[in-house]
Amino acid sequence: MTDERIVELYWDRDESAVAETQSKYGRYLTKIAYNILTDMEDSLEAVNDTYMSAWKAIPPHRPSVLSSFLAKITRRVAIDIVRKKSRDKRIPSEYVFSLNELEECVSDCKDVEQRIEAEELGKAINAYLKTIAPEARHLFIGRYFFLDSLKDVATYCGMSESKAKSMLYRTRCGLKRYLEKEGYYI
Amino acid sequence: MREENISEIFHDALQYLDDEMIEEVQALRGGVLVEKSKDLNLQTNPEVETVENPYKDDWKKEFRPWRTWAALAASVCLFFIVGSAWNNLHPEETGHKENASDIEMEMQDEMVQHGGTIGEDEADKQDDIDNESFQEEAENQDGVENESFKENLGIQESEPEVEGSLEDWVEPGESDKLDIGEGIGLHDYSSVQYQLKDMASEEKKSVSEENLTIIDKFIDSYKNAYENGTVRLVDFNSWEDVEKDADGHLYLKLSDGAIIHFVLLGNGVICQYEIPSVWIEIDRRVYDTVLEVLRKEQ
Repeated sequence: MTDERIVELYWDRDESAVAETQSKYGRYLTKIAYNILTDMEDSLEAVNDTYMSAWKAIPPHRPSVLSSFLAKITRRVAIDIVRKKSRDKRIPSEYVFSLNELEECVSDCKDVEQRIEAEELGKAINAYLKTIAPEARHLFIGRYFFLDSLKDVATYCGMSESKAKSMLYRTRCGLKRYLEKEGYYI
Repeated sequence: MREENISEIFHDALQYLDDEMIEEVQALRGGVLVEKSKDLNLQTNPEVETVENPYKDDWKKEFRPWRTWAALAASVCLFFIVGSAWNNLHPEETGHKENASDIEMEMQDEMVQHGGTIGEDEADKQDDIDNESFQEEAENQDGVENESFKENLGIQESEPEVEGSLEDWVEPGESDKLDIGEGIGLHDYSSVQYQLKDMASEEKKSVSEENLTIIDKFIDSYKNAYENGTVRLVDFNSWEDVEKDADGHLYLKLSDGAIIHFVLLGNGVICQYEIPSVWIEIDRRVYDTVLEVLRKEQ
């Protein structure tokens, strides 16, 4: 079933919309959740929460790209779960590993005067990603949005792991410089 | 904890990525693929079709296992040379006693040709001659190896039509090793590097002030590193693999896993070396080969 048809089912408040969503995107969303949670039970719970959130959001929302819309919800739900669980004790997951990597984008400035609104920062990251090569962009999104392992990202981007690692490093450095140039001091 | 909070902000910010960019990666991941149903509409929906990875194995189609063939050819040559030397040294074992005098004549001729002298220690002399022959073979093979490499990559022998090329900056050197100030030194992971030779005033006019300052700074840094003995040489013996991506960028992988990234930009070459704060010096032949490849691909 096409995405447009599925979205119409949501708008018609037809409960088969959830079943169709599960049929089409269930495995995809579970993988995203599992990358973050590393626990199947939690992942399935996160995916179920995703269906619930989608049901509540559509309408009034009419996502243009249903898969990305659902992926963002799943990601948000899973990250919230892991933050609740791992504040005090670390859960070894790609999400946690990626936190360590993204620390490099943080400057050494000890006096943090203000925190940046996530949405504004997201716009800046969007703008930066549009300036870099598609290959580097795919790596960055695969690693930090989908939270795939470095090995998986390198595989589906068609390169060696070491090349992916070095390219990601360069992208993070470039992002840091871009954010500083745009006036984002973290 | 502060850093973790800030990194978490980054993850929150990524929720606002453009859907189109996310969809691009989804296609590569193949995560949207479901078992194809009998519904024809579903099969034609690009979101559920597997997208073949466009980057996969591209580089393997371009590069040939020239090093393997070169090593094999060298081994075969060595086998024949050693075999021939053995036959000459031990004619009785090879059943050529009746022709010993003829063989001796041949040895004499060969020794004379290679400037050797006939004396008591003929076995040692013969070894020296064989070594010399092998050395010549190896050197010739080296040239052939480079030629084969270039041939396999389709590199043309004619000069590339590029105005103000790097050849104008650096005079072709006769030796393989490059002296300080004439080499292609690379430093600092994220910086653009140019050749370090002092440029003529005319050429300097075409370079921006900022880049000129960078070049001068790196010349000094490179000289210091050279004097301290911390410059690392990169030649054909130290690189392990070459990869080329869909954008035509070249990646030279060294034996210890470090990577040098080459890309043509205008008349120059941008080289990025993976490990910062370490100077490396690239052998002329390696650099020329890379430059030719990049220019051909442009």
